[in-house]
Amino acid sequence: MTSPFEHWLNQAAEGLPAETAAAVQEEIRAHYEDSVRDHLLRGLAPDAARAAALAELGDFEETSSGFKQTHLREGRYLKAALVGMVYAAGYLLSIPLHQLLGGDVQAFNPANFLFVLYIIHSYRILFADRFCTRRVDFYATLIVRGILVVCITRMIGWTIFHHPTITESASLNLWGMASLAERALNMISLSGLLLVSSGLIVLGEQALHLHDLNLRPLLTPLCLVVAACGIALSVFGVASTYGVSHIGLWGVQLSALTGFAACILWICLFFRAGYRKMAFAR
Amino acid sequence: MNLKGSLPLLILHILADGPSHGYSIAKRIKSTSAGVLDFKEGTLYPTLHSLEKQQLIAAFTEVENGRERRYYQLTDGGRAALDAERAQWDEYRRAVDAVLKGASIS
Repeated sequence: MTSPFEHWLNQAAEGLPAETAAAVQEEIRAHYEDSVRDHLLRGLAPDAARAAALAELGDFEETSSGFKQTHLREGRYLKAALVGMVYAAGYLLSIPLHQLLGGDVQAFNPANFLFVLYIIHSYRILFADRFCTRRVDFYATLIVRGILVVCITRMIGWTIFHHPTITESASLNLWGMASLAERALNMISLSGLLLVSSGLIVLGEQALHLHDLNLRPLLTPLCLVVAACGIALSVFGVASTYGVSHIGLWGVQLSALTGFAACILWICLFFRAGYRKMAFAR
Repeated sequence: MNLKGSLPLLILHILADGPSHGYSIAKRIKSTSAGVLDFKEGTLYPTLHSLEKQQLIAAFTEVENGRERRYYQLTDGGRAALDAERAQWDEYRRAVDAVLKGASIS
């Protein structure tokens, strides 16, 4: 049977990478053993000494939350950046692929391709959400979750429209009814994504402890550009809704390119932090 | 007393006297403050690891009683951060004192 202390230790290190969890447990175990020894020296009975040492450690949830903040945020940040880059690259590739192979369903089915992109997109926003939950506050999390809901709604809508049991005329009718909503959702999702990208650039500096490099003068204008693209995209979206489709398409491409650039910047920040750490270790 | 915000400052201050391990840091904070700064000792370790990630402290292991023990020491960056944190704390303390003195006069 697991002792109360071992239970505490397992809970405190839960969710951490195995190597980190083992190191954390070893360190706290040494602390606990010293504490028990001191309580015994003060005259407490063994059971009471162990109980007192455990009580002094406090709530395992608080410790676990602290460890997750410290050890997981960099990994989450990198995952969000990598998934974002895959998404943006996929989106950029989808346009020439669609033009080249769009007519040949056997070779390339844009519906399936976009469906996969939507999944990657949702996955990316989910990482952004997990990152914001830890780092920012309730309102930031709410915005990211709103974007996630919009993205999932689009994904479900896309699946319904392209399901084999839906006839072409029914699909066209459905599409006609929902196209305005679909376009609005599309633009909210994409512009929101860029706003989130903009926020993540600033958060990256904080999460990766790069304050002392004084990157703010560089990051602030970049964030403003990314955020401005998000707003411009909404304008393009409105233009597209009113029939100026080439402007809308240009806006989507611009958003993908900006998102791609933002993701590259996240990854550069991440590796800059890694390089500093290695240089420090030397 | 809740010392969540001031725990990094206290840790940096203690490590300015030389390398130490987590248990020793916890005991020193409690004993020096005569138990007033009582905190949950488990929360000390995430703070230590966070300071290490920020490169304000560095960790190394030493064998003690046949067991590997993780010690922490202040880095140059940590020393600079300690000076800055101390200055901020002094400013904060003076501001609170000024308000309290003003309140007691009126």
